[in-house]
Amino acid sequence: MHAVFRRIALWFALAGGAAACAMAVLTVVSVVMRAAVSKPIQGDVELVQMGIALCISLYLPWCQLTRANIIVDFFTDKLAPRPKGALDGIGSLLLAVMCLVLAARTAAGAQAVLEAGETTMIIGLPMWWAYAMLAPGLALTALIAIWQGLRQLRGLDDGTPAAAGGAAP
Amino acid sequence: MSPGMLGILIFAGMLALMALRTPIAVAMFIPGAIGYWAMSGDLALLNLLKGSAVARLTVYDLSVIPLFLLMGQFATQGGLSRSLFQAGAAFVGHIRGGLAMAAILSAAAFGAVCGSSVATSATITQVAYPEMKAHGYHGRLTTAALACGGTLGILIPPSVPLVVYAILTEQNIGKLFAAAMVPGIFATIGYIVVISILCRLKPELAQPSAAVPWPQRWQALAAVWPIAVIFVVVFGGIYGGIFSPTEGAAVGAVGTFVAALARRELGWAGIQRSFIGTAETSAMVFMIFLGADMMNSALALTQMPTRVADWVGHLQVAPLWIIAAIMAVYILLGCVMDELSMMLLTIPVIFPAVMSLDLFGLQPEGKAIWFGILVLMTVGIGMTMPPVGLNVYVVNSIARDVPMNETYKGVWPFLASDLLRMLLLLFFPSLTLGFVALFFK
Repeated sequence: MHAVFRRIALWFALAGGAAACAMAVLTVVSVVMRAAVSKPIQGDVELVQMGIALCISLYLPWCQLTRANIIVDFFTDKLAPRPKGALDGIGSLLLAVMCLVLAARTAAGAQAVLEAGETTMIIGLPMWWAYAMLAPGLALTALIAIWQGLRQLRGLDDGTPAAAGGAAP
Repeated sequence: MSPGMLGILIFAGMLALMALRTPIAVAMFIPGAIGYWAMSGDLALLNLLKGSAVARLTVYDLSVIPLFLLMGQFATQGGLSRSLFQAGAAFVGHIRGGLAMAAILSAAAFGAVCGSSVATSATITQVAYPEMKAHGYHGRLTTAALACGGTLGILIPPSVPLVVYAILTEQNIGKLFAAAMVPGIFATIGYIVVISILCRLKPELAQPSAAVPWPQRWQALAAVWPIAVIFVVVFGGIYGGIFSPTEGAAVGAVGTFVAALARRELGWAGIQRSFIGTAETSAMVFMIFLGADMMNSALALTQMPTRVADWVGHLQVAPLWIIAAIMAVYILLGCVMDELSMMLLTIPVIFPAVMSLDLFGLQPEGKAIWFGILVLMTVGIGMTMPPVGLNVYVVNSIARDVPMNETYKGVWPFLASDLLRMLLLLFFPSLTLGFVALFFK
């Protein structure tokens, strides 16, 4: 199961990275065109706004899979593995609740915006895209968190959460 | 129940969840959502949540976070940190403690392309630690210098915590970056002075290495010119108003990618690692944003921020003492909490109060920038101060033969320089604002 989640989350994260690169290149081209022929790419800001929503949505599952969502370790550091794992399990399940609520509500938001036919100001991108892009990432994150949480509650998962390497500012 | 009481309950619920290992984002989101529901009913809550995630994730200015992180990752995976350290070591390695100074200098230079202190610590430790160990540097000095040097990753722009502060307080990211320049240079000098004093007091801490001949020094320096060019273009462009911070970050990411490719050290595996590293940190930051948004919406309904501002405004205490007290609380909070969450949680409550104080007769914008840099200093301190200090963990996970306690003993002299710098910036706002005034009229 872990292997399956890992593969999907990895593809999500890599796709997000590619999206971030595309955003960077688009912005650079726009800056160059503005400087050279004073004609930036139409709607570059709107594309970046959509792009960042897509990126973050694609990044979320990997972050949860590697347990890079930061926790406070300070008060429970001395606990035995079993109660610690149980607390982590509850934490993961609560995270799943948060992501499911956000996914469901954002999907409802997509519906509403689609019906209203809202578009962005300059190049008229349909606004519901931004909403729709968030739902898959949030939903997959919730699934991963439920799976992790159930394992942690049964004491099967003794990984260390919030691995300090790479994450955190 | 009165709104004030409910506000306190929400806050207490959050702290309890945090202490019990719930991810910080969730510990803010769930009590916030329950509090919001209790005050304005389920329809209002459902309606808010419909758009709240999209509203947060489509903020143009926030795109600088993944872009600057990507830039730092490319620099790390492309081996730029190694050239930086080698250049530093070629110039100052022959001084007693010189390799530690080179580590500080290379961390500062790396901080100019990286906005994360953990990433800076990790990458500089990987290249500098083996060298310092081979030259018989004392473990305590080595790891402490690396952990504290890592904070230059956020003290010198770009800086993720500073971007978060700018978004929370609706300030100009470029101006905040400019304001961080002089304090960042102060920090670099301060750490070098600390190393030099330590080595003078206890010469056994570090052995000087052989001096490198001048031609080789220039050669080592020549290898780092891409970083200098990228820094000047990105920040020159942002400060000079040629492009927005997002555009600067995009130019930096593309430029660093090209520089890393040109060194022939960045392959497909390295690119993958860059993407994954960016994913982890970006997702973590935005998750906390989503949680903090919910919490702050609820707290705003309880009018807690207004009350706190009102209360602080009527305190019969000199404003500067209030700021000093806030800084002290931040340093203490930083001991048990992650610094980013600390900012997201407290800035919306504290900032209006700070803005209502009369400080040196500063204009609102100047006050906001100056306060932001002070907050950034406390974030830096929190990254290294016992008993938690994330940077110390990171350095010790690489330098495994030095016990963590040794590092914690070693960071105190560096923390003393942090404190001294903070006091300077507290009493002389012009140190922070002077550089801003130079660029932004």
